[in-house]
Amino acid sequence: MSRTLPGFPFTFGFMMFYMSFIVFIPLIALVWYTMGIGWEGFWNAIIDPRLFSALRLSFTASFIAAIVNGAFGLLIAWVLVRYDFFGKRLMDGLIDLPFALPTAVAGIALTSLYAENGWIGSLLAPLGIEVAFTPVGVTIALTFIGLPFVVRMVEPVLRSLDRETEEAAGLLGARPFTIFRTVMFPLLLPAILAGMTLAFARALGEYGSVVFIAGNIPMQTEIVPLLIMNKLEQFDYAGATAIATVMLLLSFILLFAANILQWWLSRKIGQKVAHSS
Amino acid sequence: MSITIKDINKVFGKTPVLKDIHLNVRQGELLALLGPSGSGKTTLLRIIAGLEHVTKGDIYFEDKNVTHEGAQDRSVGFVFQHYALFPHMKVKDNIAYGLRVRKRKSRLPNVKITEKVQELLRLVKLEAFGDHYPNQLSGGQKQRVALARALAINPSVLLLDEPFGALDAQVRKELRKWLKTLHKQTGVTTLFVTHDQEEALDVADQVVVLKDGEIIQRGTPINIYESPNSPFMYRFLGNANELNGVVTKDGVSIDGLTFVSEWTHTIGAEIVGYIRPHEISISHTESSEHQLAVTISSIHHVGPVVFIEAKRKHGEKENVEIELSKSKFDELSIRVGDHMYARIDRLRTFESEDYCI
Amino acid sequence: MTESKVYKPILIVAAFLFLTLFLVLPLLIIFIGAFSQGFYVFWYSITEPAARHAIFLTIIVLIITVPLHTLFGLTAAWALTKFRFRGRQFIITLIEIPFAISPVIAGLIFIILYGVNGFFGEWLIDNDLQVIFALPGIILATMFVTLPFIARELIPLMEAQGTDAEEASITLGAGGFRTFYHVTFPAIKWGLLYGVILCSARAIGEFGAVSVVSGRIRGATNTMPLHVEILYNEYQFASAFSIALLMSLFAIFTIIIKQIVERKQHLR
Ligand SMILES: Nc1ncnc2c1ncn2[C@@H]1O[C@H](COP(=O)(O)OP(=O)(O)O)[C@@H](O)[C@H]1O
Ligand SMILES: [Mg+2]
Repeated sequence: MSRTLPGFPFTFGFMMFYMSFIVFIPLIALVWYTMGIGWEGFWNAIIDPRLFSALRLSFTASFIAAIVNGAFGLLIAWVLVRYDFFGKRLMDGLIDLPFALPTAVAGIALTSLYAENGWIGSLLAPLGIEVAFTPVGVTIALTFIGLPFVVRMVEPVLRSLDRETEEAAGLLGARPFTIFRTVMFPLLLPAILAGMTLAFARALGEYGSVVFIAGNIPMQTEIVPLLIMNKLEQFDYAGATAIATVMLLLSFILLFAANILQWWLSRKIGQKVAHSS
Repeated sequence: MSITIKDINKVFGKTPVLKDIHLNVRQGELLALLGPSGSGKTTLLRIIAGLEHVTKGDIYFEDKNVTHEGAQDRSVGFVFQHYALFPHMKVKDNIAYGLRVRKRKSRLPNVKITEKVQELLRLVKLEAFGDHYPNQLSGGQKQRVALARALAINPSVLLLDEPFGALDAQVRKELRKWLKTLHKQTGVTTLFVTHDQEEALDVADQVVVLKDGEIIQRGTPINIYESPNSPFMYRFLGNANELNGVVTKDGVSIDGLTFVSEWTHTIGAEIVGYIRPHEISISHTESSEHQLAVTISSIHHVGPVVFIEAKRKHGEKENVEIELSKSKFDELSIRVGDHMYARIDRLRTFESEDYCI
Repeated sequence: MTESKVYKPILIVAAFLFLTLFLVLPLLIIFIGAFSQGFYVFWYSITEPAARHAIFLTIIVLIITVPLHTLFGLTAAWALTKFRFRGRQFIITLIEIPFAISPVIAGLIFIILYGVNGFFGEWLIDNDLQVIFALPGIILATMFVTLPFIARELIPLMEAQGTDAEEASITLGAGGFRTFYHVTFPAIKWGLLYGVILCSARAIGEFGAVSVVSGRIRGATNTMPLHVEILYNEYQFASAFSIALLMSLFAIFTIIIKQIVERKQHLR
């Protein structure tokens, strides 16, 4: 500690005490409890086709939602940073809705909208497309809750991008889309991926907005958090904990991999920038 | 108030930043802490203010050991390098801050505070700006607000970190003069940090030069400029010609010429001689033996002075830089290519070993 | 250069379409759903005893969670941004842990700690205390999930602020509290306001974690989102949307505050 401002002992002490009570001790308890289950109990809870199917759904739906958010998040960030238009502030505010709206509220709203007799569901039904109570519905709910992440990650980076680089490319004869593809996109990619990673992580654990639209049909539209919930309702704490552990491990591995990828990408860009200057 | 610093050491992590600093500042002195950036000037100043803990050593204000006293209680006026004005307060509230946050018992009545703020605004010539916010002021004005704010608490010591660092040349010069006058008026013991040697020599009564966390030299500006005690000091304080030579039993030999050195060296040692550009006189004819033969290679006019670069006839690679007044230059009517003779009026020599530090 | 006249309208329209599909229509359907059976049903749905009790419980959760988190956010941000020490960055990361954990797992953790078979289960029974399937459990789970919100608003702000102004204040003789109140606080108050409102919105809306630890006993341990779920599952859509509307209004309020705060911070 090198500063001499007052208050460090108290603020640091309170912070650590508070976090211990609310976060650390509960997390340690979880780890402790998991270790107490024993291999056999753990294994029995894991080897369950229902869990496999739920894992597959959770990961694919979260992944697709992250991709959709990557694409549209970039689009929205672009529009917000580069254009002036009527309704811009409204758009900017709307983006944050998924952060502020209770997940259960989002869940019932999306379900009503995409149900067979809902506004959108009734338009899609004649085309033979079912959304509610199918994996597509799950994906839509997960897209909703992950929507702000990419936009909010990309915006500041896009704003800070040097306009002169773009102009230089234009003066060299590149068409707008080529400029975007060759000059801007590589610089934005780390931020896009960072946003997608956050959206993905959030989607994996999401419960409230999904349970309503998923329909929770075993082997078909059950997501992992719902499975944990089921176990808890049967007072099977060991089983719930085992599933939670698997999910936490898998998502940590994934987050870790995504971080490495980002780090690698931004380093590559850093080198390129260093070379070109 | 006098300040005594005894054997101060400061280590950040594992890096020593200040090493065995001893320093005594007398009551009413205006002292400059001069040194290249990273030499520990700011750290020393912050330690005096109580904004940084010492690793070892003690600080006394008069006879009182304040080493473990907090910055709140030291009654030190500190002017930060980037001013650190409170952006959400008007200029007058910035200045009044130190008076308003006193404990109720020792707080002046509001009327008195307003009076005092007015007085300070006058002192820093910002009477018209009391209701402005800091971001509506120029750099020089901000600097003066920072100073007024520091002076408001009647500090026993005033500390300024690179007070003119962020200002342009014109404003710098003005503020320099003004700080000198202000110091005379208030008589507060003042330390200011700078990395600009001209500023230190111009403003201060006493200059302390720091390098790598150590005090290299201390003295009056004249003393420091005239008698640098090391090659580092020579190069740090203004221009100097460096000439290599050898010590013989008669003196110091450079380009086959023998000079008498002010310092004694072991015979046979390699030395570096330092000469200020204005300590060389030049003529077209050879008048004594102690002259270097040179060829004029370039001429720069800088206002009233002229800088001449000359190539030494016998020297290896080093050119000599000579400073002349415009009138002297016109009198001699020098042109590029002229062969001339340079007399060294003053030479200081250091053995090459200590050159390497 | 990339601003071609052709792209601009296409891109803007595409963005609006996407947002309409995912955000505007869901919001609209809440409003319409709430009043689908007339104002009276709406009014009844938000004032009938079970609804009143859910609102009451939610407010209790709020009044306990938000002030404590505010204190935590302020102290943590002070300790983590105004001082340098080893492990500082690590702690900043730890604060975000609850974001990385599924709310359902967050609830599970508290069952393991305080449930009947949990670590403190027997002790709680012996002392006739109930945490799980009761209000304390709901509060703890909500606190876990919403812990980061205020701190993470404040930390970047106070980091950017630096320590110069505080140090100036200290040398001028001000103590810690005065320095915080006069120098630090004015620069962070808008960020703090948004943090507090967002934290409240999330505390009101927390569903997953609270579902796990509440016993879902109607009228006893139901917060507003749980009440919505029950109504919806009982096909009382208008009532469900009525409660949902109340919460949506708070969410909209949160967004408006954010817009104002961002504007204020820009102007400074
Ligand atoms: N808070 C700090 N933590 C670690 N190192 C520091 C800190 N403050 C200064 N230093 C180091 O101490 C040395 C001296 O710094 P400083 O006193 O600011 O020098 P100056 O003001 O002469 O430029 C520098 O090498 C700097 O990197
Ligand atoms: Mg410095």
